Amino acid sequence: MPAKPCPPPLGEARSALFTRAEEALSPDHVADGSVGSEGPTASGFELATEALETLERRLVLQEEVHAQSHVVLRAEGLDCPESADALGTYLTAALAGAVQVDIHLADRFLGVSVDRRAVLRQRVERVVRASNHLTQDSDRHWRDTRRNPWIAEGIGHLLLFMAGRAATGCLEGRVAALKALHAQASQQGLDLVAIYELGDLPVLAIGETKATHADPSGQLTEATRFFRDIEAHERDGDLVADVTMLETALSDQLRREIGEAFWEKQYTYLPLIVHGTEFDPHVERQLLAGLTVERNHKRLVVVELPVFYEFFNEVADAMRAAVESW
Amino acid sequence: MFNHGITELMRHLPDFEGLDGAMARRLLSYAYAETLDLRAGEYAGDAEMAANLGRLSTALQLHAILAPGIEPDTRRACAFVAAEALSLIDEIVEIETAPAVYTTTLGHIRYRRLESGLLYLMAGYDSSAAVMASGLEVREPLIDPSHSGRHVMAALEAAVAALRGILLLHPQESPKLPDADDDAPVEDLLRAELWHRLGNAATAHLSWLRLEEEGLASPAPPALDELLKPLLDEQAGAYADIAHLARLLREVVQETDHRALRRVPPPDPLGSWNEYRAVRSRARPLLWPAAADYARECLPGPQRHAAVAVPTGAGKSGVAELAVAQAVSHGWVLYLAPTNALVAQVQRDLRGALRSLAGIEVRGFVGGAELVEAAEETFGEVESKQVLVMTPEKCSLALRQSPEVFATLALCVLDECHLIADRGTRGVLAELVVAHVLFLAPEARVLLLSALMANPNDLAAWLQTATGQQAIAVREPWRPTRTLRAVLGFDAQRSQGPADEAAEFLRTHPRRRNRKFEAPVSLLAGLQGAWEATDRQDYALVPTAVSLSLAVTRDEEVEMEDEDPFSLNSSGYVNVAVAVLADTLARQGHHVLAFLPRNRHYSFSVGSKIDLGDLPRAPLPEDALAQLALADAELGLPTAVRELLEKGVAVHTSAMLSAERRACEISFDRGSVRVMLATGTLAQGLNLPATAVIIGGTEIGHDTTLTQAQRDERTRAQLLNAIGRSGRPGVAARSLAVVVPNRAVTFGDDWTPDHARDAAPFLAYEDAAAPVTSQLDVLVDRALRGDFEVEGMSTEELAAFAVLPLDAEGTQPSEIVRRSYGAWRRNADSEGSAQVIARSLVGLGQRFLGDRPRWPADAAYRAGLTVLQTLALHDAYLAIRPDIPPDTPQDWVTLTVAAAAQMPLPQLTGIVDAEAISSTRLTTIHDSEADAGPDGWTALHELASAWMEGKTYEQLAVLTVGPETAGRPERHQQAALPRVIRVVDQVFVFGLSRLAGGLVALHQVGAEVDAHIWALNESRARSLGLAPLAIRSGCGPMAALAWYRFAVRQRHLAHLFGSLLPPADIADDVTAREEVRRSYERWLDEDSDEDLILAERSLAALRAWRLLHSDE
Repeated sequence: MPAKPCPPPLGEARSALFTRAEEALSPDHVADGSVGSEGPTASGFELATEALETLERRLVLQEEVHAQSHVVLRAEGLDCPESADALGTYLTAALAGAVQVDIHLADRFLGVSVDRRAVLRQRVERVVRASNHLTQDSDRHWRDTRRNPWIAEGIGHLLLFMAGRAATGCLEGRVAALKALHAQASQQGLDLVAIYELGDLPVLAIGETKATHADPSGQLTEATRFFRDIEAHERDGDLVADVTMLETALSDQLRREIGEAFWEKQYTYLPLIVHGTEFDPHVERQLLAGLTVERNHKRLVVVELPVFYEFFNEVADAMRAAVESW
Repeated sequence: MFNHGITELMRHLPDFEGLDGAMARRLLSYAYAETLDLRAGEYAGDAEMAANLGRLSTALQLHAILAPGIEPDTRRACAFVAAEALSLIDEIVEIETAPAVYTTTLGHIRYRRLESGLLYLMAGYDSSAAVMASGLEVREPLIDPSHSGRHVMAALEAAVAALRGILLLHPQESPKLPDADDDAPVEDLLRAELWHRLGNAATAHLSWLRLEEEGLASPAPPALDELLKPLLDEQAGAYADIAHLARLLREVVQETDHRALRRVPPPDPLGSWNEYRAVRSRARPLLWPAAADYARECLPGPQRHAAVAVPTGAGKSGVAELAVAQAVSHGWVLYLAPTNALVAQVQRDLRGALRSLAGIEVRGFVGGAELVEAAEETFGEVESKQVLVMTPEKCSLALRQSPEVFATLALCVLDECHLIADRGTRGVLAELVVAHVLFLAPEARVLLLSALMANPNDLAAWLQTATGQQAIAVREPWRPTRTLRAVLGFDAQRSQGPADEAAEFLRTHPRRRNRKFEAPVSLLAGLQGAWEATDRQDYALVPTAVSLSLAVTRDEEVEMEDEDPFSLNSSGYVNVAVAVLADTLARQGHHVLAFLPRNRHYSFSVGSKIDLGDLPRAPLPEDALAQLALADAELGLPTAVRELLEKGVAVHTSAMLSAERRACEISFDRGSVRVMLATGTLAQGLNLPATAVIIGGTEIGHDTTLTQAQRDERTRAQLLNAIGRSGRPGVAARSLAVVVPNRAVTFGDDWTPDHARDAAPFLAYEDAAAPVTSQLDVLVDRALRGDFEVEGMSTEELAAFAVLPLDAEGTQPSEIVRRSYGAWRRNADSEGSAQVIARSLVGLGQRFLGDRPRWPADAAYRAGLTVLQTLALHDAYLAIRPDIPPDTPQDWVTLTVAAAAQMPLPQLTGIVDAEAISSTRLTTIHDSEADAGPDGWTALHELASAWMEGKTYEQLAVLTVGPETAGRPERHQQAALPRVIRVVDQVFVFGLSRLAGGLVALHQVGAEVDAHIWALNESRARSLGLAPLAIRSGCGPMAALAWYRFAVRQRHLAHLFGSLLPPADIADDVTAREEVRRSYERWLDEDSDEDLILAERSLAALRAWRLLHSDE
């Protein structure tokens, strides 16, 4: 990935997420009166950009072509402190973008100004808490079912975001629109929704992420069940709401074609499994094979982290630090 | 399942590969068939079907919302199909995934219902949207959320309540919002605020639609734009659920704006229009498409004539109401409906719609067509702001009696205007009534309405030519609900085993000839609309859990020839099938209307086979019970209808008292009973919507006067009409119509659509609409050629001449005829043609009369009898006329019967028809050989006297049939009561009353010619003038008649009051009226009648009447 030429940036209409992050992390923002006295530092956006560039340099998707039922994409380069730190910064920036959206909306709809840093801190702590000191069983349960899955979802979001900036191999085309990162682990709607272009036609990418130390196979089965539900159209209510929300990011051509693309089942499923123990992703998966889209549209992303818990702790630390350092 | 309107709409679906209207219709229809839960065993394809529905819905929603520059029709088509698909999903599979992963969101099912409802509104299907409102009631939080979460949920529930209000077009109570916690997370505050704004926009739009807001434009669009734009600009995915609903609501607002009643331009002068608009906007703020079309083309005013063709149940009465509400601002309105039952219904509906308007009066004339000299039976003064509702027959009389009042007529509505194509007397009469109105009221506008008119353009062209005023045709195929058509047949595969066993039983039991077995049935459902398609994929065979008793029968003759002697015997299966199917469907919550068109007595016998008494249901409405009490009193026996109603079954046939029919209508309409069994006549007009219709038999009652082609046509029309009654807007979006063919059908594996189509060929037609023709065509041709012959005239021609003033000096008859539809069809509407027609008609009149005096023709015209009938009456009456004329109405009726007995039988057509008196002691009137006891005319006289004396139907039955009928309440084919009811309705109410009117007319006109013979003193003239009413009402004594005329239009009670509270002075109408009204009002004010010493049935009838009329 680092060797590739500088990717075309997301078009103006498509970059709302990043624009908001930029705005959120911009020092100019201190002067607009909508934030508290503790405005962001001048380096916030630069740090976020730097983190993204770091991730683009380090994070590599290797396509492995052994499985018949699906494509395997192995994500490498995350399991180092630099990447974990950059990921934490990216995730905080993404949350900051969401916070900025809320600040705009609150100003518009509620007529109130919001202490951005306080809200950002609150959101970060909601997803990773104030520290990694998790001693009780209930804390560990929360870690495994809330925090780590949310960070895993963030990895998926990052991969799709990067796929809008360059041809990363994650998808067969460039991401044109991407749903914002959930601000908490259990928020309504689908986790990862993006629309990418294949030729001139839109394809819907739907991701489902799992973070598991020791049960990657079982979690892949779970993720696949989710896609089976998608194929049974049981989640269409969320899907319609999520996709129509991306309207401003889509060209007229894509908007014209999106209904038909859906009708023709132009989807790509992205199960993303972040795991700590060994797992052979190439094994033929009956459930995956049973999904009706063609093999190239079933793209299993695996992120193997031998230092599983430490990685998540490092990302959480980086997120909290990012809030304080901006 | 889908009519032409929807098929047409679906042509606008986007061009996706593999998706077209036919495919969508197949999928949606099959899905509906599966929701009926009739299937035997589980259907393995539910999940796949639900997935396909989801795919269809989502693809079309995305296209409707996101595709730039989409055509409005495409958006509507997408919205409609998406809404149908969404609404069906939940009925097929129960899906509720993760209902509360986040406590401040809607669950999937409620979200889907909201989406579906809003999409229906986008597509213009208000009543389907209303169906989706159920299940959206305000809920308590599923879990105990944080305070801020509670605030969000309360805001959500308030928004849902507001959106539910939009779906129902009626505001819903919403929960109070707790104060927001200032420390709540900003996203919670935002979610609450966004829900709040969405709900406010919905409420504001509804208020605007309901005219509770004065602004020229709905406040919702800017509010929704303000809500949506930032969310979309920011791609605020966290609020995508709210944004999506806001976007759908935005579309709904736009679609409903142009159909809002408040958008209809006001008339000039304004009259009570604003009051009407305010009241009706609260009850029904949106116009359905036909009314919207009419408003656009004809209002204000109405400034144009219109011929409006809409399917059954698609808002015909809404069009009429709109026209009436404007027309009363500048004149009076004549509303013509073909039957007295419809007149009563229209009167009730219009009174309900217009009741709050100052000065508006809706008067119903439910009497007959006989000439009566009673002030309350005539128009009297007709003022602006009055709406007079009546049958064409009654109007025909009014046109002849009070032509001057038509000068101020503003609007004439002819409901069910296809009536003018009816053979016999009714079509001709209706057509001439309209032509006469056009002649007398050249400034009035005409509104023709029908669900069965295929050529509204022709009728509009007629009106335009006849008046020189603009006329438009409205042809709107839209229907608020969809109907799946199916044919019931035996399932060959599943029946084979039991049939073989039955045959084997007969083999081993040689002395037995029949062996019954249970045969499972299947439904073959059409997956498009009318059964035009021949492709098997457009039909689906659904095996049901229903089975019917069949028998294997031994044929001994065949057996002797060593051939297989066993055959299936399905004779008489139709009524059993109807009973079983009605029972099954009712138990699944359907409102079932079952038509038994072949015989009016089947309804009672099939009803006796159904018992839904174990189902929980609302008690019978008080007013229905009151009607039953009135029926008991009339019959002198407990009505058999009560027992059926208590078992959950209503019946509706002509062999019932009107109170019994009304009790059934009320009980069915309000859901107290779920099954209504009716004859085909119910299909023609009364509005009793059902979610399932069963056609019990594909043959209708035999009419020997029709050719085979005419019989086929009538069968097709009646059965399609019956199918058209299916659909209960606001209760169900879809309905089912099952045909049980007379000839049983069997479906094997090799079934083809032709199997069922052959058994029910009428299913190939969308509806019973046919080109409306004129029965005057031939008459006009003959008039133009001048070749009328007195002998050999058709019934239609005789009917025409009964209401045309043949002997008039002026040009009136020709002016009427040239304005008729028949004249337009024959290009005979010019001045020149009028002169030819005039000469021809005058010539005919002269030939009718020969060398006789001409004045009886005037009497005929006045009475509405044919000239030949009047001449025959004239001659007969003179032959028996007593020296001293009678003094009482009853004696005048006696004299009328005596005169009738002297008339040639052909001239008694429509007076005492043979069919009306068959199987009674009156039979010898037509059949002197019949073994019916004493002279029929004597029996008729006795019966008429008893009828007018207030005898019960039980007592009348003894006189009509014999003493063995006493105490027998049965209604089966051989029972006495149906025969009595037939004689009363056809001979007394319709026949003799008109003949008595003929006698009135002869005396009135004759007195000017030969006073010696015809002039009567005032008292006798008054008695004669009331005789037609006495025989029609069954109230002979003057006291009873006074009560009937001025207070209580119910025979038993009129007699009762007449004996309890007789007016002291009955010589003068004004005095008698005042006295009766005073007594009546005093009685109404009293609480009870317990101190009266009366039979229990009479007391119950008094209580019933008081209950029904307590608001007078």
